[in-house]
Amino acid sequence: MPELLEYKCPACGGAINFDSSIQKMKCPYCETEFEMETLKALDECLNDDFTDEMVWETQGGTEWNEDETAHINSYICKSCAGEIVADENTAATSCPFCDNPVVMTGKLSGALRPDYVIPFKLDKKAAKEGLMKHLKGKILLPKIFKDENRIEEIKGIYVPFWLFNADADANIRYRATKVRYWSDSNYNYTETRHYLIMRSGSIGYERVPVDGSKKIPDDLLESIEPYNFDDAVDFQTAYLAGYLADKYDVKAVDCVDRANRRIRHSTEKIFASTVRGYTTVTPEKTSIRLRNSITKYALYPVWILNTVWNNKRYTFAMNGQTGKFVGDLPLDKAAYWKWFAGLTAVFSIITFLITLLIYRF
Amino acid sequence: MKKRSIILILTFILLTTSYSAVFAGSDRELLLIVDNADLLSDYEEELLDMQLESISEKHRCEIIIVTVNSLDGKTATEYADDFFDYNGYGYGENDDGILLLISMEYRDWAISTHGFAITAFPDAVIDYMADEIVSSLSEGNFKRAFSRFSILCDEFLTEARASKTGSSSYDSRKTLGMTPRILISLGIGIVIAFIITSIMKAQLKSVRFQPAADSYIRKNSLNIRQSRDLYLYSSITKRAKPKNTSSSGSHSSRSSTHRSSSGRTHGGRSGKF
Repeated sequence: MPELLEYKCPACGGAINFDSSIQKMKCPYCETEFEMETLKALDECLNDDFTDEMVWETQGGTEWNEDETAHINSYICKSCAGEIVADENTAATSCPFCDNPVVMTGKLSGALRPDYVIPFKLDKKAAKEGLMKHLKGKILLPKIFKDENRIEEIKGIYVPFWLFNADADANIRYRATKVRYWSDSNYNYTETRHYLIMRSGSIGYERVPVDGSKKIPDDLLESIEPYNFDDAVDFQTAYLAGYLADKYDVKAVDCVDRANRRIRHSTEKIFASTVRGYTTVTPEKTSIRLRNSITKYALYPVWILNTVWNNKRYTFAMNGQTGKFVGDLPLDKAAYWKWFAGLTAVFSIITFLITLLIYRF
Repeated sequence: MKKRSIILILTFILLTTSYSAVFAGSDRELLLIVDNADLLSDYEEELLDMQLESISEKHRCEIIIVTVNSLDGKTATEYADDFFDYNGYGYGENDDGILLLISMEYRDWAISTHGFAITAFPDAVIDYMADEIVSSLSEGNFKRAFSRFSILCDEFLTEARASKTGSSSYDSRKTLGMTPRILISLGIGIVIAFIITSIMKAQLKSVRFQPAADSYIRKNSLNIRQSRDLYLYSSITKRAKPKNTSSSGSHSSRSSTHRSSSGRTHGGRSGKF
C-alpha cells in the first residue's frame, strides 16, 4: 500500500484530499484545485532548512614588533578618553575628536598591528576645498555659517576598520503572484496566479568595512564609503608620518552584527532581482550561511573637520582617498519658513488660476 | 402740410415694422415676463424684462417667464407648451425659445423649449437648471429664482452657440464656490511647497548609514545554483461591471421631446416646488 501523505493547502492551510471526480487534489475548505505533482514539489521546497549561519573568523591584525612600537607614541585624551597614536616625529597636542588637550602616555603597546593601510591621497588643502564645495548651493544653509565658518581643526586621521571577507550561501524562498485582468460585457475578472519561488546560490563579499572606533560616529564613516582597496598596501609605520592614527576600541567580534546586516541586505536585494516577471514578490524565508570568512584589520584615511556654531558642534568628514565629503549642516529656520510661505503663495495662485479654467463659480 | 404728415406716419409705420422684423422676426409686442400671479413688483418685472430681452436678443433665442394662479385643468407642461405656441413666442422663423412657467395653485413649475432651445438645453442641463431654481422657488424667493434662471439661460446659450453640436453640456461646467476653491488651492500650494522645501532641506543632510554592502560584492561572484518557480494555484474573482457611466456624456447632450396640442415639438420638463 502506498504511503498516504497529508498535504496542507498552500492557499488556506487546510488538509487537502484527493478528489476522484476531477482526478486532482482539492482543498475541501477553499475549493482550490492542485496537481499532484505541484504538491509533491511544494513539499520538497517546504522541507528545506532555513537556518542562518553567519559566524566569522575574527583573527584580524598581527603583532607589532618592538622596532616599530619604539617609534610610535600613544596619547590619551583626558576629556573623551580617546586614544590615538602618532609616530614620534608627529606631535599630537589636541584630541581630533573633541579638541581637548591630549597627554602622551608612552610608547605604543598592547594593540594589534594593522594588516593594511590605504595611504592619504588628498591633503589638507583638498579637505578645505572639499568643505567649500560642500557648503555651496545649499539654499537653506544660514548665510552666516558660510561666511563666518572657520574650521577650527582639520585633522588627517587613519581610522581603524575591520574588513570582512566571506562567501555567502543564500537560500531564499518567495511567494509571488501574477495578476491578469480582463472583462466581458457584464463582469470584470481578476485572475491571481500564485507561485512558490526558490533561489539558492552564492555570492562573494570582499572587505566589507566596519568602523572600529567608538569616537567617530559610525554613520559619518559609512557616509564617506566606499574606499577603493586597489590602493591599499601592507602596513608600514612610515605611512603614519604626519598623521594621527586612532586605536581601535571596538573588537572585530563586536562589529560582526553590522557587517552581517549589510551583507544580508545586499544578498537579499541581489537574489530578489533574479525573480522577474511577477506582479508581487514577497520573501518568505531567508537563510544565509557564510563560508571562507576572514577578518582583516586596516587603517583608512579620513580628514575630520570640526567647527562650532551657535554652541553646536558640526563634524565633517572627507574620504582621504576619494575626496567624498559629508557632514550635516544647520538649517536656517527663518529662510525655511520664508521659502515655504513664498512657494505656497506662488503655487496656490497657480492652482487657483487653473481652477478658473476647470470650474466656474 | 397734409402730405408731409402722411409721409411721416408712413415712415413711422415702416420703421416700426422693419424694426420688429429685424429684431423679432415676428410681432414682438409680447412681454418676456408675464406675471399673472403677481409674484413680482412692477419695478422688478421691468428690470427682469429688460434682462430677458437683452439675453434673448444676444442669443437670438427668447427667454420667457410666466407665472399663473391656475393651470386651467392642463398639466404644467401642456400649459407651458400652449402658452408658448398660441401666444406666438419664439425668435426667428423657427420660433426658438425657452419658457419657464410657475403655477401657484399646486405649486407647479415647467420648462418648455422649442426650436434651437431644444438642442441648446439637453435634459441634463434642464435638470441642473431646475435644481438650481427649485429651492429658491420653494422659499418663495421668486425674484432670485427668475434672475438665476435668466443667468443660467445666458450661460448655457453662450456655450450652445459656441459649440459645434449646438448644445450646451452640464458635466463640463461643474461649479466650485469661492471658499472650497481657495482651500483647495491653498492645500495644493502647501503640499508642493512642502515637497520643494523638503528637497532643499535634504541637501543639508549627507550623513546616513549605508544599508547594504553592494560596493563590496566580488565581481561576477553571484552564482545561482538552484532556481525554481513553482506554479501553485490560481484564483479568479469576478466583479459585476458598474453601470456604464461613460454613456452619461451622450446622455447629457440628449434632449427628449414631446408634441404639444398644436402639434409642434417641444422639449423640457416639469415638477413641483
